[in-house]
Amino acid sequence: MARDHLYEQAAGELGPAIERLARSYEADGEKRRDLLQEIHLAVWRSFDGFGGQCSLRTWVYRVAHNVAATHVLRHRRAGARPLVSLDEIESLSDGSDTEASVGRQQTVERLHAFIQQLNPLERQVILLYLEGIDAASIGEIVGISPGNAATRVHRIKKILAARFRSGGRRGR
Amino acid sequence: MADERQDERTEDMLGLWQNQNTEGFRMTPDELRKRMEQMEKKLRRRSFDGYLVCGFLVAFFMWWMVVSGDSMQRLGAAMTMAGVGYLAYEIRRNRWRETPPAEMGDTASADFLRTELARQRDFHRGRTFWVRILVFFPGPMVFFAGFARAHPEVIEMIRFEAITFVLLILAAIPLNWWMSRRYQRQIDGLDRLQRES
Repeated sequence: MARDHLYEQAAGELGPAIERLARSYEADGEKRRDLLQEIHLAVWRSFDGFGGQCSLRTWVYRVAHNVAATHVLRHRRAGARPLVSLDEIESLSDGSDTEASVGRQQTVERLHAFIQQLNPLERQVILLYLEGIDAASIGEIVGISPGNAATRVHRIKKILAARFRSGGRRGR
Repeated sequence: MADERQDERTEDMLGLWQNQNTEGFRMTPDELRKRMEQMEKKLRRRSFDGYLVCGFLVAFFMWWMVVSGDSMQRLGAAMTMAGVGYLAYEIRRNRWRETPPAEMGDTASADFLRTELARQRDFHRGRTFWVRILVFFPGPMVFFAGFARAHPEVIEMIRFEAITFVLLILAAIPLNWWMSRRYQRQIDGLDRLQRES
């Protein structure tokens, strides 16, 4: 069946990225497992309508992010702290984030926590950037112009460099 | 020089991100089909629960229509049943209507998110909100008035119930307004983000 075959291909190529995405959208382990299953199911079902109108990667990322964004809308409590934009994140000072003595795992944990504060669209841009997707493709997936995506990526780089000073290097 | 250092740091972050441990999660076609069946069962169960509540309310007011000798109370019961029916229909139609996954793949995330937020916002404001209030509010009020006319001995209790009901309806107005503003702010943020370049 074409749907099963496409799913196998997508899960093989993008499965780890989907796991990382789910982790950045849901902090709770049990809910994250549900979200992950929901994304995989949606990707599998979506292939009924896939006719090569875009690349498989773009298609899967769109489905995955749209399912995850819906998850955020559904499960956010009314009194929860509002999600913020990159502008707001840039203006917030957080001394603990710039400490230079953190290990790999801690840095990754803090990176996930940092991403979970962002509103769904900016979260999506940063996740795609971290997956190594270029600005033009980010624009196509997210639905913003390539110039806009490039500007956001530039700012993300700046924020990441300032807030996560040395976790990566030290871990290598 | 500073730019080079920044690029180096973010390259490190990318490496760190992409090399983090994952479980290698994937589902077999059988598991996917099973999960879909579970999801459909859950949705059916949720609809069934909603219908059960509506059915209970309709049965309750139907009973009053049969046993009450007061025409105003019977009219109120009938209006409330109609209101409950409309409310159930509206909730089912507007709230968390599932977007087909194939549509998700075809829609850029910003557009998808905007549609979802607009749907939520519209649930809490405008014509649909006021129609919901207007359809649901008069029935119980007429029912209370009829009940008070038929049973003047419990008028104090009915007055208390009627006032509580009115207060709840009044509280729903600012609460829904606040919710719709919240969604609108998110839509505005999204629009700003899409406009920037």
